[in-house]
Amino acid sequence: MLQNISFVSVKLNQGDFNHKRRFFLMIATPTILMTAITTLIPLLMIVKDSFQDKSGIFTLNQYIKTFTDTYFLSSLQFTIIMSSLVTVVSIIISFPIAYMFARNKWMREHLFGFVTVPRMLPFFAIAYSLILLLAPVTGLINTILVNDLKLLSKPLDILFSPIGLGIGLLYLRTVLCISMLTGIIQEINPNYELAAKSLGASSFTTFTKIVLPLSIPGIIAAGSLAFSETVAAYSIPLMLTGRGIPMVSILLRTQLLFLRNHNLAYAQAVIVTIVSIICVLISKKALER
Amino acid sequence: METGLRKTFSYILDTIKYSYVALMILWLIFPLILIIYASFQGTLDVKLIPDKFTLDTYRAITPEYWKSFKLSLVLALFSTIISVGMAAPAAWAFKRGTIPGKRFLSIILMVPNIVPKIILAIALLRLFIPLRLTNTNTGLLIALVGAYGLPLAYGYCEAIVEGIPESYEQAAMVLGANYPTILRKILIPLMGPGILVSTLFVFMRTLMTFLIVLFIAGPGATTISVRLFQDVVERGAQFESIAMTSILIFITILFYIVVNKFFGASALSGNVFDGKKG
Repeated sequence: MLQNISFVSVKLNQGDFNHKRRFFLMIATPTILMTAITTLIPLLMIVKDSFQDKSGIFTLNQYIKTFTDTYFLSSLQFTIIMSSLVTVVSIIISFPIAYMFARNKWMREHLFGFVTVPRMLPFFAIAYSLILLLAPVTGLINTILVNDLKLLSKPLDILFSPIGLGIGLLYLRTVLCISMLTGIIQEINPNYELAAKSLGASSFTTFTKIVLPLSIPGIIAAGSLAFSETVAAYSIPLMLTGRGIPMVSILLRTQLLFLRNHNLAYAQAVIVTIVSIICVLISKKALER
Repeated sequence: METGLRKTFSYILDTIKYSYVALMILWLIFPLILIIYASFQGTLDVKLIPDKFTLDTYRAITPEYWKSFKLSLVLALFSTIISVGMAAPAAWAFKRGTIPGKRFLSIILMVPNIVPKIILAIALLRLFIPLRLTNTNTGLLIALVGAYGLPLAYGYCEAIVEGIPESYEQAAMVLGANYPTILRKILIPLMGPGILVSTLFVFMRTLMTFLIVLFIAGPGATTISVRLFQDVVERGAQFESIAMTSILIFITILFYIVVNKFFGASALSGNVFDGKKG
């Protein structure tokens, strides 16, 4: 009799379980479908097209062409050097303030808006202000240096050069790094630092022996994310590239919109995506530890 | 003697610290200040001490800008409602339930967070051209929901569900509550505030985004961010665009103040909204 009852209840649970599975799947389906249709499927289409020529025959020509094109390679090289520089500098200048944000409640409550508001704004706003600040003749800095202080005889011309581009990208990445690092450092237990201090370590020793080693995964995560976003940056390079080598995303745009060389553009897009995905995966791995 | 030295040393250290913070804050807000400042001067060559303050730049904003701005607001509103409405139950189902092929399906949901926006925009263009969805409001809405709003809302909702102990729901279920009751008595009261904040965030983000819809937007259907961006690329900085950008900045600041006031600073600085989702 007892066995019978338990058998019935197990069977009921099994049916209930299947019912629940279907229920869960049902309410998750619209999200998955929508995401797949608008992101996964178009991306797969691009990958497929990058292996075809215009008449739809399988070919590796686009990739061979891309990797033998010295202009593309020099642009890729420039992009990677620029992204690495921007990433390293932005991590260095944003780590201390992120640490203060994470440990100081007053600062977090009153000053974090200076990070949140720029993060919300579209990127071109930054480029607008850089134009206002650095433009060769009319920019604020040049007006002050040349007309008011008479320090320079000729206006500075750094806006449409790699330096101006670097400043623009650095701004965006500092905003990203500060907000990411603040979140990551907040998760490190502050008691470790207090313990080190109570055992007689100076602030400097605490920082180098406790804080820095513990935040290495966070730094790797923030750095690789910043790097991947800079490699694929589009708006700032488009607005601030004048002369010199363009970044990869600008080449992509030219191929796609003006030269109508779609399949070649898709092949280049696939390459950029792979570089950037590798960085994001490193970032995710670093955070998991 | 030594304490005096130490005092001087710590004084110098404090000075360095505070000047560093001040410099960083200045670095973070200079673009906003500069644009707003320029928008009130009515000229592109900004002077430190302006000749006059005027609202001419704001009056010069063209009707096309206002049209795009209205379209942006409507699109952002609808895509936010659709995104959050779809993402909140999905996040709950993914966190609590057993779904066949969960690992694979969660990879699909990760795709838009991993792939750069500009590549997604190119991919969407590839999809939309044969479907004739470019340069239409429907196309913009689909792109904003699928490739931007939905992943964003899903990330937020996932964090919210993770913050609620599963034992509450289990306890209710053991006591005989069914799903509608659990939803009404536990999930809505606990998730409500978080969902509200994330709705506001998704709205702001979709209002401001432009890379995703950059290639899809055309003369017939353009959001304000895309229009401002195209304008500066094609014609350089104009003062009506600077005025419009200032309006966007004002909206963002207003949003920040509202969220800060009603939901507390933790909603804005916690790692729920600014941490790992990038």
